[in-house]
Amino acid sequence: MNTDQDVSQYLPIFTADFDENVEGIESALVELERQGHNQELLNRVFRGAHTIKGAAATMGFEGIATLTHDMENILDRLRQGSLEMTREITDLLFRCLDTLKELRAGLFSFPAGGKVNLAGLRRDLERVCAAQAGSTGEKVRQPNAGIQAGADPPGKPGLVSSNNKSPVVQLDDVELNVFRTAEIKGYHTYFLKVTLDNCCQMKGARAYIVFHNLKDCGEVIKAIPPVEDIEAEEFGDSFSLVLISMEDTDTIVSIVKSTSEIAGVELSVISSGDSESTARSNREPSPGNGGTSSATGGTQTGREVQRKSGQTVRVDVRRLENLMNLVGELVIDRTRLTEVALKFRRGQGLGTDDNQAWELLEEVSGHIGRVTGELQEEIMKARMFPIEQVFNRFPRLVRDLAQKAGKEIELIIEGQETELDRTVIEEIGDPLIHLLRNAVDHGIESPEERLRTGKPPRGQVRLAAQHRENQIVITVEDDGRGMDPAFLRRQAVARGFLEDSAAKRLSEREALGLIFRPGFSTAGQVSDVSGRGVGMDIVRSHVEKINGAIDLQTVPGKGTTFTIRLPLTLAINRSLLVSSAGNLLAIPLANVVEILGLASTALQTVRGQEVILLRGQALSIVSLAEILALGTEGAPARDGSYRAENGGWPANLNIVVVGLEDRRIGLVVDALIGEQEIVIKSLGEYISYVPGIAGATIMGNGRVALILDMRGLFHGSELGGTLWAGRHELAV
Amino acid sequence: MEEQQLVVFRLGDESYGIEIASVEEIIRLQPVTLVPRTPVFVEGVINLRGRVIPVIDLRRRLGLPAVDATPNSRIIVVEAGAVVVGLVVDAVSEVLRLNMAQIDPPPPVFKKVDVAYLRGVGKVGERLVILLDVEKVLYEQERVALSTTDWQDMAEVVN
Repeated sequence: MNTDQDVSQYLPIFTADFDENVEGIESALVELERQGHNQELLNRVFRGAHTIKGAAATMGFEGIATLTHDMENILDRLRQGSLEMTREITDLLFRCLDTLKELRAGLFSFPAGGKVNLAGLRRDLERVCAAQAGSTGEKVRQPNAGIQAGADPPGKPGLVSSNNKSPVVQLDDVELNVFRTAEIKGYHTYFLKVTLDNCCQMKGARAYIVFHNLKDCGEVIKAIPPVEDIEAEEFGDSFSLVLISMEDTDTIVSIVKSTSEIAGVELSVISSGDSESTARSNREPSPGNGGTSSATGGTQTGREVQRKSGQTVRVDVRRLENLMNLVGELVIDRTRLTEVALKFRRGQGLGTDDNQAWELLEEVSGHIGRVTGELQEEIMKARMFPIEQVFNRFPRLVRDLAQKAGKEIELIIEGQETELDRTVIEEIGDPLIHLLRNAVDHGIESPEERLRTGKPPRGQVRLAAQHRENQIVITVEDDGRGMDPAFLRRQAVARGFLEDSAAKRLSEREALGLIFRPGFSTAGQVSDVSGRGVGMDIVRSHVEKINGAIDLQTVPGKGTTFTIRLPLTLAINRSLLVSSAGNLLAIPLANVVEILGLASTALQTVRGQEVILLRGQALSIVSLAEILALGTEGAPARDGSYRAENGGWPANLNIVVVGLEDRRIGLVVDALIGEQEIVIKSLGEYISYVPGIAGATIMGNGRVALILDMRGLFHGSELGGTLWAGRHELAV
Repeated sequence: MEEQQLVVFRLGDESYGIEIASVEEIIRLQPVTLVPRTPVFVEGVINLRGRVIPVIDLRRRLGLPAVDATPNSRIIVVEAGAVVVGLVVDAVSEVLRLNMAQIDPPPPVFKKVDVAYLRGVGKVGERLVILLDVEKVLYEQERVALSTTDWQDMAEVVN
């Protein structure tokens, strides 16, 4: 395989495209298998394979190119009906996809390419082709039929000048945007051709003066040749520019002519004419080059790629458009600011007449405020991706799992367009796979059993995502056998998790919560009725890592629903602000269970640890300043040092009860400041990971406050073992 | 002959220099937010126009005695590799051009400062300017310290 230095820079783009196409093919194949023959789906698969083939050939990845070529052959015959879609062929095509993924993974290993053997797969492909080709007559091949149609991308939008003799100006998208916005606002757009006197000595300087003078009356959005060339005097006797201005033609001509050594000015007004429609059609992805189905859109970035390269991010074209619009607005505002400055200079600043500079200034600053606000929001949104990216992998996964388990399962996916923060998207995949696997393996019964209990033989798994208030709610719902709390109680006792009496005291909800406890059912295959919960503790810790929460509802015999609630973004967090030893600290509200005010006399000591009794349960109490070793100027605090310095516990304790999973601990802080939305910032690469600190945030007064991370705060220390009071142990 | 531009600053009686290319800006001292569980020479973090950057007490880092801040104290914001870090110094004195020929390799032991952090010693007339290697100041031996931090101590504290 031939991977030059030259192509390596395109690797991230290639892999992003590749993943997108493979994903598209995969979902189309799953659908195809379900529906049987469908020309549109076949076309989609074909286009995907074809796009990959082209890209791989360009990059010199022969293995991928060869395999996709073989796939094309089969697909083409399927489209023409000279081959029939059989189970064998579907399986073969899935195998091709898996092999493609292997080949792709091989691109990142050294030596590039890896050792994927294609021979066996290719032989099978040929055999399938040959076997069926014998029975049906060879039909006329129509290569690439699906991708030719409409693949003629329109050229760059041109602008029509009112003066037909002048050249048409080519504007890029940004310029076009500014131009269009300006037009709407009633600004004129001029095309100027300035010719310098041929005996002019310093052409660059002259041109500069022209630009400078024009800046007082408007904004130059384009220069031909580019400004750098003009500055370097790399132009003949004349140069052209596009100007946005409120002034009329005569004023502009006179401004230009006021510079000496100008031989002539040609000015024409440009209008959008019919370029509007041209421009719009240009922006739509042309059907020939994408190969992506409309359903998958243009915003996908393979998860793998992000991990490995992290250099390219795809943003929805419409979103980018919107950003461009906003930037266009800002450019207009800049022009208007120039206008304001000019008015001030002319002394029209502070009078009481209409259209005074200060009025304009007020308007412009208000406008800038709105535009920047929107800009900020849009940029935040650009971090968001549709959860589709994760969901797209699941139809194939569920199909494979169901096949293996000998079950009939229909996967229904809803709300895949729901958008989530990139970081959340990256983390949510694994827990969902786990839940789906559990639903298929343990939730849904075998077809026979389902028939016996009066259910349709085909089970249903519903995966849905939706926006609810400020959260994303993802549910994984099956219509399987459900779970029985009584059985879970018995299991907990049998496995030595709980005493019999304690198990009996658990509420139904608490009993169901047992499946999230580490090791609860991983110890071995439990009976058929409750086999759920394999690795559920891992699912939960994953979800909590991204500040989410997981919950379940179940009806024995009817099914189980897991509900995952996730924050919209990890960049913003609601926190409780507290002070401790003079430091301002933020505790994520998700971890705050309750806040207590108690006299220090309520403290008791149990096995050397201070505790309070809260509603009949012991709760360990520690000083936040001490566990963080705060207030001791660098040197780590020794046990009790903070209390020693301050003469023991204060008489009245402010206790923040924090929770992690089902464990609780009471943190003593000096003062409670309040609740606030904070923007999370990293401590930077240099300090990198500090156990117990999730990051920093900047407060209203510019000071930095640290955000605590409960997991890190107690993990690894003895606290993890003894301090955290698991409700159930204490209940014993 | 090749020349170097140095930002020269003082720590106690000594003049130190760092290459101007690695200096992003020089700011006045400002309130620092302590970050627990970091090495002692990390003073904490500050807000630099919306960016949270760590601040290092250069005296502590070089093993010099600590002093109180004065109105002359400054934070030199340096960029090394991908990280931006503030270094607290007693005062910033000047920007100096130094001929490479005027730079000697560091002596084995130099004024109680760990030579591992030094690039050399420059002579400017009668004066000596100690050239610091910013990367080494930030990282030498500390990658380990930074990643493990005082966790052991912490465990003792809470036990």
